Order: sequence, then structure tokens, then C-alpha cells
Amino acid sequence: MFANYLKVALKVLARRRFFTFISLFGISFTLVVLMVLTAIVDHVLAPKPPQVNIDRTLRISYMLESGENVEWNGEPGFGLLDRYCRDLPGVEMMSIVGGTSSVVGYPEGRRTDLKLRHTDGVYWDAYDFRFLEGAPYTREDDRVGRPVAVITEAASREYFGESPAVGQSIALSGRTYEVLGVVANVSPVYDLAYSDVWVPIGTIPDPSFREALMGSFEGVLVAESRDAFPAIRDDFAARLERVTFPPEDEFSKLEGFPMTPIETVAVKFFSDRPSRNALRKFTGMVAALVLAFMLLPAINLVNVNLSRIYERTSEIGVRKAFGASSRHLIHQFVLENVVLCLVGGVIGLVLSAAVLAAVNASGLVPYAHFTVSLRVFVVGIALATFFGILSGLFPAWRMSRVHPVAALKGETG
Amino acid sequence: MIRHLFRLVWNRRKRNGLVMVEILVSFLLLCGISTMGSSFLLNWNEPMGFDRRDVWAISVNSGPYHSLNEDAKLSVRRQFGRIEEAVRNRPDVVAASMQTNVPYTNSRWRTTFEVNGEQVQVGVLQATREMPEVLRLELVEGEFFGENGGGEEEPVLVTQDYARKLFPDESAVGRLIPRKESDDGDSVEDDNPRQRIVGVIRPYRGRGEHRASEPQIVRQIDWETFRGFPPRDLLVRVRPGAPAALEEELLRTASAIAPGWSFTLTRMDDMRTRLLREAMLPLLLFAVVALFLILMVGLGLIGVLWQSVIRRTDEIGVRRAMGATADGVRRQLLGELLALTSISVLAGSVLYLQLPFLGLLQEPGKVVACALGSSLLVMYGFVILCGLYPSWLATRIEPARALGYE
Repeated sequence: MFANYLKVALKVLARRRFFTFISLFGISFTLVVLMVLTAIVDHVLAPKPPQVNIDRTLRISYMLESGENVEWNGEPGFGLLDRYCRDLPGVEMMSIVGGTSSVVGYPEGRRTDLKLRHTDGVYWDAYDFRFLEGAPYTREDDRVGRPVAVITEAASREYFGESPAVGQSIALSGRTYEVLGVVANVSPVYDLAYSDVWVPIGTIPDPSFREALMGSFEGVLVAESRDAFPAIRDDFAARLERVTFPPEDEFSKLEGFPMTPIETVAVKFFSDRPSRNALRKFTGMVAALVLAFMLLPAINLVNVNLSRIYERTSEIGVRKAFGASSRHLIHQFVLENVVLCLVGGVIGLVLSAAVLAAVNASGLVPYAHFTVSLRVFVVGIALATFFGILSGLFPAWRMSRVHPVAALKGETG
Repeated sequence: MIRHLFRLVWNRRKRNGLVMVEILVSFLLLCGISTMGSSFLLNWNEPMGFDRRDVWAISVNSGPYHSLNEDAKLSVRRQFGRIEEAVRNRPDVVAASMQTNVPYTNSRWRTTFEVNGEQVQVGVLQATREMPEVLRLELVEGEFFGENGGGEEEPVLVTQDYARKLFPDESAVGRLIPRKESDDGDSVEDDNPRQRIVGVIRPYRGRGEHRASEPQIVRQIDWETFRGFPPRDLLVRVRPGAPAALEEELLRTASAIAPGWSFTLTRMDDMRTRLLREAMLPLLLFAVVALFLILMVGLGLIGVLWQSVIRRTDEIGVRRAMGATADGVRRQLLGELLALTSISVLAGSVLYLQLPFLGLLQEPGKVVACALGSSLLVMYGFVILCGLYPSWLATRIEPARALGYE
């Protein structure tokens, strides 16, 4: 039965080429857009070097500090992370990471713009960078504030050409660091793992940041496993209660919670109160946008399908006259549509791979390497099937209602 | 004739319903693209209100400021003043001033004022004395700041668009800015001195060529008494053709005064390029996706029309047999298509016009009119293009064959 439907479906597709082309054009284009987006998200969130631990990472990256009449939301300060967030139960390691800032250097008089990030020594264990030369700085280097740096391959080439960088000094925005290691280039999509130059937090000259509860640092918690997340969050909440505020401060309350990377995106997107509902709101919004985007292609496909069905009224009449139920017919036509969408999906996959290759080659996102992974493939096929059912149901229903006698005469409702 | 066309469309409403929805959604998409496009084009040719050429921006990172105590804050601000002075004294530097609301950045200070019952977002541009020279602001009337503000009242500059809002019928120079009624910022307290307008400058379009101007009030900074968050950018006007070596020299000058701070220098031309690229990219992506969607709808429309010509063969055959010309048949089909489009487009226009009325689209009427006009033009043109082939097909139907058609 199923094989029979399939045969009919392929026959129908081959019969009116122009219609088939229109349908496939719409389907594959829609799927290309959705699959390219999926591939980018997949690339950003996949546990690949340097973010090998992303699956079991929580981030303390967004806090709300409030008082009588004031509210301040933003990144937590070093003081909060250092004094209150260490040794949470179930946390294997905790790293304090600063934001990136732009620095300039003038190797041989040429102007070079680089991103610089302050981190502690644990950072190099929390992330897995590929070292081409040398080694990272240690916790001890950070504690004593030794002016050392890890740089990327691209930065090393800018400054030192082909010669080894380790042991040389690098001048950035008026400060000089000794290069300890060179890592492979990192794409900006990797968020906290991204930079051109990394230096110890201890090299920041003005120590006032060490006490601050708010401001420009983030905590990276690598848990023993995902199962530890609830306990970590509970303990963090309990510790927030114990935070003491400087007496002259107008603030008296801190809110926030350790978030998964995707939750961080959601909360920062709404840049609102750090709430546990942000992720649900965010996924809801994304789903609504995806559906809205699929709306026009779906209507288009339904239209084309309806047109196609009219030319098959006599076939429907015969099937009905010989006892096929409406259910049978709906099954058959939805299946035909799903087959059509899957063909479109395969074309879409090939096109997506081409688009992603073009994006990689264009350097639009430096050092990114987007690919159609297995996960993207699965999402693509699922989307194609969903789309097929969505756009096949209405025409199939319309068709199944045709009266067999009218259908045999070639009339439609 | 036209009523007849609409009746034909109405009689087939069940079959045409989805096509109409499709045209409606495409039309709304078109409105979206053309709104962005119109806003871009109409803004592009307006004067900027400042001169970006030969301006360099040094961003000064002095570490956290908010968490310092009052004495430490003052000493940071004095450092700012010293750096300004030192940079100003280098050869090839024409003028230098620290300021907020730096052109071609997304960060800006603003506050909401209620002017004659209307909420107006006003940029608060705080700068030191030489700022008008650095950005070559153009004075419409009045004068720039004097040597020092001081006194009971604070002298301020306002942009022309703000001045017109405040004092629609008369000159704003010499007038006091009305007390703020709705306060959403925290920097302006009531014990602040009243602000007196000493000069009116041209509208300032610091957000880039693609954005409209935003009313600005320019306040002069005195480092000794300054409150709130200080600016972090030092803008420097250099002599045309200043050598690249001057960049490094300026950074060294600044570092020598504040060794622990970090400084980054960017040419305003580069800032402009980057901002415009960042603004264009999402627009371009959206436009490409939308155009593909509309192309898809067009192809679908051709298919549907084609099919409907085949299905109406007998009807068309009867018309031809009764003496209708090929041209008449084509006119009928295209007319029906246009009637159908008109219904969708009318609904679409009504929906689109809700946006500015509901305040969801804050573009001037000129942009909305331009966007709607161009969308209508493109939509009708596109639909006719899609109808050409199917309607030509209809003219090929021979009455004799058509009447015998089963």
C-alpha cells in the first residue's frame, strides 16, 4: 500500500514539471533559510574545542542589583564572584572571565587592532584551546599579576611574522606583556572563549574592581554533570542572601542565577530582570518567528496543491467509487506532499551546504566553520516533514470531500 | 465593468481566498522592505550636522568609575582634563574634547522631556569647551560656549529640531529650558541650575547617515563639578593629512599621564564604515529573504492562474464564441487579477497604516507615504507580470475546441 502511494506520488511529480518546480523552489528555499540558522546555532552551542565543556557549564553573567529607587542590571563584579561564588557544591572548576576590550598596537609602525580579555588561570582548564606554541599562564601568574599574555596565531603573525612568538614581548595600548603561548584562532561566535589576546586579571593596575559586586566580569562554572545544576542554583541563591553591601551603597539586593549558555542568550536578549522564564519566552518567540516565516511558503504550497488536485478529480472519483474512504485519501495525499517536501528538503540540504561554504569563505564571521552536521540534517528532515504535513492537510481534506459522482464527471466543489 | 470584475472575483471567493491571503502577506513584506529602504534613502541625503573628516576618537578606559568614592572620582576627572590638555598641545592637533553621544557609536545618553504634552527623547551630549570646533558644529543662531560656564544658570546649546519643539514660533536663544516634568534619568536633580540656551545648532545625526536626527541638548562639562557618568571618548580634530605616526604619539602622550589606563584610537571614518556595515547587513539579509519569498509567491501565482485558465476553458470558449476578442479575454483575466489584488492590497494598506498610528513604527509621514506608494507600485507591477503568460494562454483557446471540452 505504502509503496503504491509512493509510486503514485513520484509519477504525479514527474507529470507537471512546472508545478513540481514551483513547489520544490518554495520548499527548498524555506528549508535553506531554516537550516542555515540551525547550522549556526548548532555551531555556537556544540561542545567542540575550545568550548568542550559547554554541556555542563553554567554562567553567572547577568545580575540585577537594586535598592530603594535604583536598579542596575549587567554583569557581576569580581568581588561577588571571588568572595561568594567559589566552592559551590557540584562545581568542578570555577573561572572568572572579564569582557573583551579593544587594544591597539603598532608592530613596525603598522596599526593593529586586537581584542584583549582578562582571565584567571582556571580559564585554561575550563576551556580547551589548541596551543601551537608555548603554554598558558598559571594561577600563580594571575595571583602575582605577572605581565604575560597568550595570543592567537593571527596576532602572532601580525607581530612576529613567521618567527616564534614565545618569549617575545608585545606592546598593546601602552602596556607590555611577555608572550607565553600561541593558540589557534578562535571565532567570535564562541563568546567567552573568543579573543585575540588573553592576559591575567592580576595585571589590572587599579585594584578597586576586586571589591565591586557589579561590573564587567563573568563566572564560568563547570559542573561535574548536568544533574548538579539544580543544587548549584539553590546554593547560589542561598549565598546571594548573605552578600553584604558597602554601608554607603544605595543598593541592598542582588538577583540572578547561574544560567546555561542558551539561557544567557535569552536573558540578555530581553535585558530584563534575570528570570527563569526568559528561556521559555525566548523559545516561544523563536518558534513563533519560524512559524511566521513558514506561513507564506505554506500558503503558497497549499495553493499550488489545490490547483494540482483539480486535475486529479477523476482519479479521486474512481478511488472513491471503488470504496476508498476519506481517511485513506487524506493519508495518500498528505504522504504525497511529505514526499515532495522531503525531496525539497534534500535539495535544501545541498543548497544549505553551499550557502554555509560561501559564508565560511566570505570571512563574514572570522575563523568560523559552519557545516551541515548530522544534527542539522535531522532538524532539516523533521522541518520538511512538518512542513509537508502542514501544507498537505488542507488540500487533502478539501479533496476527500468531493462527491464521487461529481468527481467522475470532473467537477469539483 | 469594474463592478462586474469585482463580482466575478467575489463569486469565486472560496477559491480565491488563499491567493488573496498570499498577496496580502507578500504586500506586507514589501511594505517592510520599502519602509526600511525609504527611511534609508530619505535620510541619506540630509546634512549630518557635524564634520567627521580628520576626527579621531580615543576611547579612554579608566576602569570602573561608579564604585569609586567622591575623591577618587574627582581625581579621575582631573586626569581626563590633563589628558585633554596634553593631546590638545601636540602639533597637528587642531582641537580636542571629551564628549558623550559620540557620532557613529550606538551608545548615547538621553532623557525624556515632555514638551507641550508630547514626550520627546532628547540626547544629552555632554562635552568640554572645544567640542564645537572638533566636530565643526554649525551655528544657526546665538553663540557657542564661552570660556567657562559657571554662574547661576548653565549655558547650553540645543539642536534646531529641539529648539523648534520647545519654542515653535520664536527664537530659542536666551530662553530657559522648561523644568523637566517626567524624570526617568538619575543624573538631573532639581537643585541643578536652570539651563539657558545660548546657541542653536543644526540637527545632529550622530547615529549615522541612515538614521534620522535626534534632538540634542549640549551641556558643557566642568571637570571639577561634574556629576553622573563622565564621557569615555576623547575626540581629536587633526590637521588634514596628519601622519599615521601621530596616532601612536597621541596614545603615548595619553599613557604618559595615566599609565594604568588603556587607550584605543579609532578614526571616525572607520567608525562610520563599521557602523554602516553593521546596519546594512541585517537589512540586506532581510531583503534577500523577502525577495525570495515574493519570487516564490510570484511563481505560485503563475501556476494557480495557469490552472484556473485551464479549468475555465469552457467559460472562455463561450465568451469567444459570443464574439469577445482575444484582447477582451485577456483584459478580463488581468482585470479579475487586479480586482483581487486590490482587495488584498487595500486590506494590507489598512493594516500597515495601523503601525504608525499605534506608535509601533516611528518614522515620519514622508517615509510611510513613500514606502506605501512604492509597495503599491511594485505589487501591481509584479502581479501583472505574473498574469501575462496565463492570460496569453487564455487567448489561445479556440471556441470550437473549448465548447467540446470535457
